Amino acid sequence: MIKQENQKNRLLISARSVKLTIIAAFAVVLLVFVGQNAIPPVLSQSTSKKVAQGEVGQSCQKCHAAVVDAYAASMHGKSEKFMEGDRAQACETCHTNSAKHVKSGKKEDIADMAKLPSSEINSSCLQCHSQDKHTFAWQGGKHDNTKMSCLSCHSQHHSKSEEKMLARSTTEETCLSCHTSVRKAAFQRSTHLFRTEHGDMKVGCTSCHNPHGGGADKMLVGETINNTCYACHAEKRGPFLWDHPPVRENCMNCHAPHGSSNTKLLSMRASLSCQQCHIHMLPRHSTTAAKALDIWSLNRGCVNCHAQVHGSNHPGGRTLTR
Amino acid sequence: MRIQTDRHKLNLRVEFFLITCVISVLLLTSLAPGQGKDQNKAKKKPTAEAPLEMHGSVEFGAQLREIQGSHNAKFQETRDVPRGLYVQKLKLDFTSVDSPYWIAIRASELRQSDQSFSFDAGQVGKFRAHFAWDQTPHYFGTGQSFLQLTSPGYYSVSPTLRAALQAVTLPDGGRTPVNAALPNLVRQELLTAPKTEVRLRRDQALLRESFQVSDKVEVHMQVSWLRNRGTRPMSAGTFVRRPVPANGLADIGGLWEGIGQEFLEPIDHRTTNFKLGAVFHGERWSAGVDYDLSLFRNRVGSVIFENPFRVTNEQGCLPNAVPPPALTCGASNRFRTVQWQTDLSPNNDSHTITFWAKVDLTRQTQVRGLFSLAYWTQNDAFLPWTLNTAINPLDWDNVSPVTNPRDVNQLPARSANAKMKSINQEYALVSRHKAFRFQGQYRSQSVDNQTPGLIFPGYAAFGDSTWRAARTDFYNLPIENLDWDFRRQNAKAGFEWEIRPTLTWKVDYGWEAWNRKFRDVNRNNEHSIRNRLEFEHNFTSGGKTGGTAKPEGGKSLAMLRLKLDYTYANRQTQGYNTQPLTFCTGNAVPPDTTCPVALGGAPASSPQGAWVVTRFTPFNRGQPIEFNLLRRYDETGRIRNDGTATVELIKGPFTNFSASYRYLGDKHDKSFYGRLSNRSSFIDAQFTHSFESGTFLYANYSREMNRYSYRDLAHLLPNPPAPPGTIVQGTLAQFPIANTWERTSRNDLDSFDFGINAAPQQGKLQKWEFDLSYALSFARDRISTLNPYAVRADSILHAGANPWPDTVVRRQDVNIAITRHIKEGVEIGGRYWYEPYTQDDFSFNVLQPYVHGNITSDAPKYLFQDARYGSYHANVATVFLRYTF
Repeated sequence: MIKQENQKNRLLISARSVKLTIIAAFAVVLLVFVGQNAIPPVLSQSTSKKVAQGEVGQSCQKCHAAVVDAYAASMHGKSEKFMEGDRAQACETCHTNSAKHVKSGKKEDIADMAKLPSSEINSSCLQCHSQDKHTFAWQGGKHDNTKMSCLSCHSQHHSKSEEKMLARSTTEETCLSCHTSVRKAAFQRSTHLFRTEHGDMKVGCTSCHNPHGGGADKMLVGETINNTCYACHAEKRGPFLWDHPPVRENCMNCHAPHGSSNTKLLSMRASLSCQQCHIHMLPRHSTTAAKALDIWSLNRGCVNCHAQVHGSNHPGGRTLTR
Repeated sequence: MRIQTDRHKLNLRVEFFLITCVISVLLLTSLAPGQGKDQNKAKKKPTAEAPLEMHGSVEFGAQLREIQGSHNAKFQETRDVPRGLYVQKLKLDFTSVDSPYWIAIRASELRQSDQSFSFDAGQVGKFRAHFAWDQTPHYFGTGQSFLQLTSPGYYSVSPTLRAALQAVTLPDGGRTPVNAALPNLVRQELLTAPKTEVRLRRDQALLRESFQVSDKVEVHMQVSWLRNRGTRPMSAGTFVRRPVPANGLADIGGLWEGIGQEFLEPIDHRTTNFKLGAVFHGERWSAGVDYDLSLFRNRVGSVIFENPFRVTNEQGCLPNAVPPPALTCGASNRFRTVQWQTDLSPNNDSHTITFWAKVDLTRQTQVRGLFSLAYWTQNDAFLPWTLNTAINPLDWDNVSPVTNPRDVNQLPARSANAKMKSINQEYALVSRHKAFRFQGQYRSQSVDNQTPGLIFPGYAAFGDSTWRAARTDFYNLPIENLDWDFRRQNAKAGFEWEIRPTLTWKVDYGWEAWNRKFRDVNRNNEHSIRNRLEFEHNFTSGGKTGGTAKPEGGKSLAMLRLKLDYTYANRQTQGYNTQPLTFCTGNAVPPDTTCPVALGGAPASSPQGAWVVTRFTPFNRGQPIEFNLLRRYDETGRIRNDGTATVELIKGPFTNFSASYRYLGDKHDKSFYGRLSNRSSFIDAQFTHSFESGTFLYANYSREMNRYSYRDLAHLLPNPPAPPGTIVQGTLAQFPIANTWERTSRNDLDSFDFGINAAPQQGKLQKWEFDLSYALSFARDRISTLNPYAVRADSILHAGANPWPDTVVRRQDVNIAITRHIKEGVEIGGRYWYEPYTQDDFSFNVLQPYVHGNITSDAPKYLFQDARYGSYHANVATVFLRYTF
């Protein structure tokens, strides 16, 4: 045990070195990039613009009545009418250069968000929306790095969803249009994508993921995979008297969270999952190649006996059987 | 059951605190409109606030449902598909362009077990309130059992039945033939055993409020409450050891009906979460703090069931003091207890505080950080080791200080007092400079297990008929809980270079390290390099379009996007902790002190040696007790290759085709045991087309292929078992290399779906809308096992490779819907839905409440609930009316 402690201390020192290296790298980059203020703004809230206050789209309504009427009833439209300063979102907020367009009536005289580079679109939206925690990791996040813009998913004037101003009718449809590998999960033997017979999602993408920049590697709602799972499966959180370390480290060591061809969202058939890591000096029985109809492979496999595979609090639960 | 007066008091205090907070925030927000008005008056030009106007829609209808199949619960696994009248959706909006307030009410699947409601209200820029109620069912089917729930957490069996079954149980030395009195009686009694619907329902309520205190400060709170109630199948299985010396070479039917039980776990879980936080922001920065409290409470903390085969407690068959033991030993060492008790999920608390901040240092550079500290605690009272009054630990280890294993006072502690500290950190810097972008990021996840260490003198072994102690079963290692800790750190640095407007190159370097305590690997490091190349060409303009997903404009627009992504990762370990087993050649002859067991017997063509545990093996405390050649895949070295190619073609604003291929391969050191490799590949293609008439067409196909292979080994247990008091001999393990076996699982999944939606804008069908969709999911799992060497003759049952049937699961979904617009706001329609589901899985096909006689394996010694999923065909026909106002 002492040996392990010492080793851990050595490792901590090593980790500290890594952190110092990263901090140094950050400092170098800062020196390189600080002061480049002449470049067009691409980041978030430092680019706020002052917009003249007035009735929603008075000038615009003459030609774009349907769009302006719908806009006026939306949250953004209301903000123009009932808020002041930076938080009032007029047509001009996104469609800059409108004065010229009003005079000329030409399309090219006004900013069309859809034709702007994604960084500029995002910059416009993030003027207000970068302040929430859920956009904490947007910059440099997975979606930002793939040059997605807010308009990749949202549409102010042509939204098809009831909520969140999505360009498609549901959150899932929006996500699965790009994340095609997850589409299959909805019809797999076990799926986390619970939905009603009318297709309404009970557990959907945003139940676990934060598309605007969540934690961990997979843009999760929680800071880690397990923390995300514990939100609904708090009974697995423990701590237990007898923990099962791979479970504590990562639920995905055994489970495929979207869907699986096995039961219980298992990545592999129950007994196969266990046998990869257990040959068993203890408990007494051996890991067995087993016949197809052995109790080792029937029903839940190993979990037929080791039912508390996520952890046990029983004094006799060392082998997670109770 | 669990008695926790103090904890209940604490719970009450916490609940009182939560309620107080909720009321406070509600009061606070109820003032908001008034405040908002004052501020509006003060700051803004007068605005006439009109009364809110109501808009909404409702959809309801009637439904016919027919399901065929004996185990058809899968169809309604997580949904409720009712017969008769139903209200699918209700939507009410109260809003006005001239009012800053809004109210939105939503309801779906009303009066069904999967119903949900939501209520939203707010004042623009001032406050928002969201309330939601959601129910999700989980249906497992119908179970059948002797066990009847007579009080929360207590399953009883008729004493008459138990007495009758015990009376016909054969003596320890005898087998139980298929048509003996016992299995016949079990079958007969099961015919009249009650059936139970096995289902759970998860109810969730959530209240979220946010209030804009000022332009720079927002506070928010959230209370959610989740309840999960019902029953679900759970196992308390056991198996009997095979009789000696037959050793399982022939039928191994029940020697003793010390039977495994599948019972229904009573679930009554409640999780209460409370969150309070604030966000502060300036022109170039924002920061926040959140506090999260999560309380998990289980109202049924343990379950007791009566053994259908016992009316009297008995201790297992004691090993003889002098070898060889009687042949009756072993098989009868399980489930001689009248009552068996297991612990269910213990109550736990979680407190988390999170700080985060981000600053735009310049217009191009953002730095941010997040720090989160959490404590998880659990302190439920321990249950006793056993309820079997006959077990005497002293009989089993000769030294046990435990005189009464039913007495919780003889436990080393009354509860675990378990505590874990979890710290998560994330720091990042992102910077753009013209065509370049740099990004650096560091994350850390640390879990520090602060649970006090407890050393147990032993415990009632599984089956509650014997006592297991360190001396006799754990190589003299203490039976202790280990404070497994881990820390995961990763850092990433990368840059992006827009070489040309149509070509971007990205490269990332990644580093990840795990520090673990009391596991096989104390530390591993993984270094990875990722390269991405993105090419985009607009054939129409020859240039690059904007950042939106699809180009807009003329029909002639044609665009090609190509993405290549490849990651190479190498994970290396700093040593692998193993117990110091001894390698013995086949020539060792007992009582050789180095190799004290005879290891001859391997076929001549096979390796003769074996790794063994000897009486003198100095076991290392705190290290996994495992075969020394095993390498666990989540910790050991690995080389990963991960590559993806994606192509997307966009033709005009209406047509889109995309396809991608991904390969992910993990290679492990093949000279060891455990996972050898994992190869996954995924190919998919999508096509969508919108006709000018308004018709929309889509088709998707994907194929996923997973290959896992691992190497395993069946070890031997020396006979005879240890006499009382003998140190460790009872579990001396021998790992003959000849007993190696390897298994490969090839799991393929084909998915296909297409659909067409037609809503003609003109002509005779102008008021009609047609929907057709079809989805297919077809999965096949092929498992093959082989022995690289000829296995020992005495190990054929354990180590011998046997063929396993393929598992096939096929699910189809056909939907046809027709909608007719009757007049403004009124639509009627009909829908037909057909869902055939085929499941051919040997693991479940043969299951019945009692399968003795149907198969020759350990399974005859098991009573199942038979609440499981099987094949079905479902037909649902619906007519509906949708009214919008």
